[in-house]
Amino acid sequence: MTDALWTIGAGVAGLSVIALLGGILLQYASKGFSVDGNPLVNSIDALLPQTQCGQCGHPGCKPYAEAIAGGEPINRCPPGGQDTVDRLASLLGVDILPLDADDATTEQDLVAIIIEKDCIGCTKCIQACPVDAIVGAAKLMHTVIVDECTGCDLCVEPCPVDCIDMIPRPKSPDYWMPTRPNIISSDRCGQIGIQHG
Amino acid sequence: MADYQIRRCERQLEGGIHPETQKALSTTDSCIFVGDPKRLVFPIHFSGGGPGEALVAVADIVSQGTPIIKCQSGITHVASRAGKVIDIIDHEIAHPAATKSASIIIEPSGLEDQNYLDPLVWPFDADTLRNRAIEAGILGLGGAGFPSFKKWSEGMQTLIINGAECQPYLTTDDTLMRIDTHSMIRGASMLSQSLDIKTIIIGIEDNKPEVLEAIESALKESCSDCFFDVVLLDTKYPSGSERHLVWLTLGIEVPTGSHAVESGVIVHNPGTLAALSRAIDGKPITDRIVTLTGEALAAPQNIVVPIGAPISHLIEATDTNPESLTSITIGGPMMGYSVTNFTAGITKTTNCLLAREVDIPPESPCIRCGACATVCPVRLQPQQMVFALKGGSLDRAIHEGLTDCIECAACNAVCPSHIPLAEWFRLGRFEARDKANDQRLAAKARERFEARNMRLKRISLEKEAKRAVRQAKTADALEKARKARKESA
Ligand code: SF4
Ligand code: SF4
Repeated sequence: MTDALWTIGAGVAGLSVIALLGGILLQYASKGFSVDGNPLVNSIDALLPQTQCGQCGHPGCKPYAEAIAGGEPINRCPPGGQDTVDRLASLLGVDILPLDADDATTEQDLVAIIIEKDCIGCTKCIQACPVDAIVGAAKLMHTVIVDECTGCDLCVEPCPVDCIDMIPRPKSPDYWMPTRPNIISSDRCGQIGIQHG
Repeated sequence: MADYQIRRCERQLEGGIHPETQKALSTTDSCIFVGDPKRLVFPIHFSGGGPGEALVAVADIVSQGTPIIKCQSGITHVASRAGKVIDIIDHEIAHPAATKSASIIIEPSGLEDQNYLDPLVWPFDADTLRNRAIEAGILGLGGAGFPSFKKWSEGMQTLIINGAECQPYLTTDDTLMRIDTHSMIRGASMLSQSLDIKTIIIGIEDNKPEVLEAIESALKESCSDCFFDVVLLDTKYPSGSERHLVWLTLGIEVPTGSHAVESGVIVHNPGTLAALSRAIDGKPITDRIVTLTGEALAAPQNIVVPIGAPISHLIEATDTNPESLTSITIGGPMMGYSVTNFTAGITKTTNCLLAREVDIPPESPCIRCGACATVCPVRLQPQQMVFALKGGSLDRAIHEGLTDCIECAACNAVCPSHIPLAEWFRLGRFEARDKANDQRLAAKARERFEARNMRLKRISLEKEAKRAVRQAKTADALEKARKARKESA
């Protein structure tokens, strides 16, 4: 009888210890491996172009990501283009929608440039820039850090003297892109004899 | 006598092809110097080493060895002959971009006017050597044009001399290893000793017995603290690809997305090391060996030409009229690209000019034979990648391994439908590079956006806190006043 009690007791004790250890482990794991924010929002945000332009009607990409996670249509991001819509659709398992924008505003990689001689140093553009890409101080000339500019064009409107232009993003002078194949551009197309065997 | 061994490579290249090598065409015992051309063309941004900046102005007189271009990577390119800068204009360049680009044009004067660097005296440290490589403009002369000094990090274990030269038609490295063996070995030993590398591997394909002889006799004569391990590789394309050579000779697999240096291995072309040897003596790169070959040339051969010499000048050196050719392939039949304008100047990476008549059969649809996958040395599925790319799905192609493709064009060579697979992969890889860059910028923008939001939030919280303090103060003062009034009443 006592033997049986012992066995049961040992079993209960053993399982309790395992359960306790498991509990502690899980507790630590949930702290150590916890994900910041909503993981779905983060993966949606990762697909958005981070232009922070607000053309989707939200004050930046992350807020739009949150809105999408809450059920908003996925086709409101003109800088991302149809590509982004497609990727969002495949991420979320929803139908692909046509992009909700007029073509002119999409697919153009622009940056802002301040015509420095006209700048009066009003700091309005600095306040408008969502990514802090404009440097300058009150009554002193401002300028755009080209590498940080996302081309959102939010600084153009507030400028009282209209001295901000959007220009195509400058490229490194040694930038180049191969032409699309299928025009005869080289003789690489299998033009060597192969020794078989 | 240097310590060395000669062995056969025990590993086999997976995939790959056996092209007809056509090397006999251009193989000659010696290598002639051709006379100076009428003008030399140096593209400022496309000479290798990244975008550059001209160090000379029109009408400047330069000596042979005067620095004329400084690149973003630090690499300096020098005038290959003494002469006068006659122009700085947009000029045709020998580059797959096939555009015009700002170039310095020099008219050689024919004078023996040299402006070299001071010779380095052994012992020198790695930094001295790096600086020397920068000043002397040492780039990978095998075709990629990567600044050599960037590979010379501390803690490297092995230096591999890539003498495989597996592309058909090319005999540049073969010639160099035969006639300039001592410089190559000296450059390799000096580099290894300054970086504390003990083993130097020389990888050559077994179709170069004369090279083996030359190397053996040079090793017998030279003295070096390094151990030379001469590895004979099976003749198979592309055994000279960097990551394949590392695997064949050392058994090290270079992981996806990293370079040989990250595995402790430096791989250099023989020409680069020979140039380094001369740079140690003070002579920057002014000339290089170029293979002129192909059935359309009257006298195929290897020649030594000044950097910047126009392509037409090289073609004339083979007793061929440049006007009889419509296009020429630079860099060999597998990895090369065509140029049609022969006024472009050769650069440090121009290893071969190939002229031949080819009729390009029209492309037909893929029949899913799988031949391309069988020969792909990276074990990719080229047919899948090309479907993805033609369908405009870069993501899909990247998922299939596009970024691992070495653009060897072995798949092109066997495709019965003559699909220009490697051309697609090159385009795809460029697009992938741009995309990765966009993603990097996006990540930065996200960070800055979030940092700004945090700041704005902090500022507004601070304002609120101040307001609360102020309100509390006012309330306090009112309270006091009220009390005072009560007391006085
Ligand atoms: S070009 Fe790329 S896909 Fe084709 S065989 Fe070479 S590595 Fe493989
Ligand atoms: S070799 Fe050409 S036809 Fe055959 S599967 Fe590959 S791409 Fe298709």
